[in-house]
Amino acid sequence: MNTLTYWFHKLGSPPTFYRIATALQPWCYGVALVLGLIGLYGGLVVAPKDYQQGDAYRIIFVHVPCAWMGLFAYLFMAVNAFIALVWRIKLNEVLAMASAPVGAAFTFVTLVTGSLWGKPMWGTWWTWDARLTSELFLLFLYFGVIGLYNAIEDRRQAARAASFLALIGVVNLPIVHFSVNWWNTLHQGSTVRLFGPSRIDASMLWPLLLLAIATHLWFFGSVLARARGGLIELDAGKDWVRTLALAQSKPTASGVT
Amino acid sequence: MRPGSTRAACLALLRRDLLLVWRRRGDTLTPLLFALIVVALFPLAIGAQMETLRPIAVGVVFVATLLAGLLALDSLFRGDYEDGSLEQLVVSPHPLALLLACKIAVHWLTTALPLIALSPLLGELLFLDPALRGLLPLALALTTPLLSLIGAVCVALTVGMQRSGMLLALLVLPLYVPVLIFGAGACNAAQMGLPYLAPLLWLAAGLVLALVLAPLACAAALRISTS
Amino acid sequence: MHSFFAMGGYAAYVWVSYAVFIVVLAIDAWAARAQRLRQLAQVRGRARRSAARSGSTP
Repeated sequence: MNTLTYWFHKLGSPPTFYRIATALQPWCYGVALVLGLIGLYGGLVVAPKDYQQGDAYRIIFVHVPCAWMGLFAYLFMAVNAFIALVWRIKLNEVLAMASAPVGAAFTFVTLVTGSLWGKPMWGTWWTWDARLTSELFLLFLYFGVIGLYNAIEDRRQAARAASFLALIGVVNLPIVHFSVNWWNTLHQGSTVRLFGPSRIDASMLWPLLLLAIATHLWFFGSVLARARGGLIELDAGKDWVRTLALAQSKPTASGVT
Repeated sequence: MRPGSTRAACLALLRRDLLLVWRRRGDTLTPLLFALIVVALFPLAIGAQMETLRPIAVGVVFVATLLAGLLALDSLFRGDYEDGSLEQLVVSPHPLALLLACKIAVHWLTTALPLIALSPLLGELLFLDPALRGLLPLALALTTPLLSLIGAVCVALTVGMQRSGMLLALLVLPLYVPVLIFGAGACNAAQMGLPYLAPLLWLAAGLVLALVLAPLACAAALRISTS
Repeated sequence: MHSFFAMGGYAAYVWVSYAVFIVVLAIDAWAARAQRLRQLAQVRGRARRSAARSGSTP
């Protein structure tokens, strides 16, 4: 066995991954927090007013990174689901199921902020715009995956079934987007475009990119945290979990997490 | 013991499923009644004038068919799961996907086909545009097999559960969106005098793909949920 | 300072957006942590019960 596969197997073992995740998670959250705060400062204070939309465009700095993350989380979930189903690696089942709630949270924020942005710009809380509609069904797909995972008693079987659903969803998602686009042109012609041909200015771009990086890191921090919980649940009978649980009970509950 | 040929197994399965449906033929009426009642509720809710009902007739008929199909989906594997014959199918030496395709075909024949036959009546109740009288059943005939095939995959995932009704709807309906859009979209385009062939061809293409892929996916899902 | 909070008349939309963003992500992180602690507590409880069982019937 060469070194690479050795490390791969080592990383896939729950106790090792748990240890690495425990070390990595505060860094993910911490760096995300710092970058996010800088990005928010840049977006709210430094970036100039948009000449068309005034200050309302500042919603872009939370809306667009969340929209990217909603899709990225689905992709991450689908890749892990694929690995979990083909090679039956326990860790990937846990990672796939860990990313579903985070992805749903980001998609939810996308929808709410999009609606809050739409009200002053389009005059309504909701339009059946192609992207908005696709995003809504993305959220439903997430709910389906989470619902299926929670409905099956056996945890591994639940993870495999939900992973399978996630893979069906990934096939379906482009079709939904394509069909909604077609439907949209049939129904209402061209809608107001938020991103016209005009280029985004550099002073608006850097906070956006910073927040995009911050949301990615936050996603990984949250996924690692959930994966740790999932691994404990799966391996509840194993020795490493028992020693971990008993080691944590001695210092009072406010100990290092 | 030598297993019989796959062809014989499929034929036996088709015969058995059709016979089971025939013995309980009253049950096949339930989706029809459901669709009829749903359609009848719309004039009560939004008013019975022709000019309000005609524009939405196609959409209502499609949604009612879709919901009736959703209700009927539950019975696809329920009985077989409870009496254990589903597990026999899974462990049988024949390709599971092929056997499941037979089951789905029988299910479509006994639940969706009557709905298609009923659709002109549903359309009349909502003052459907006379120009669409031929197109609506055609669009439904392309749509409902897709719904059955996609739905079967999701039913296979939820097969062991006690109360899977609401969850099944949550899993299936997002996957139905493209089918609904193209099926109802073709009729709406025709109603507006636009060309409607393209969405129908898209549906047909999707149906060909689903005919090949959905039984395979259904078999994989069933192996996961019965393991 | 006042004009910063007013957001050119769009204060309600902008600030609510940012609040939703921050609150949802904070809830997400909190839920992840709570889930792990709950699992750990369950493991501890199971260990305690099995210890009590083996202690009473040696």
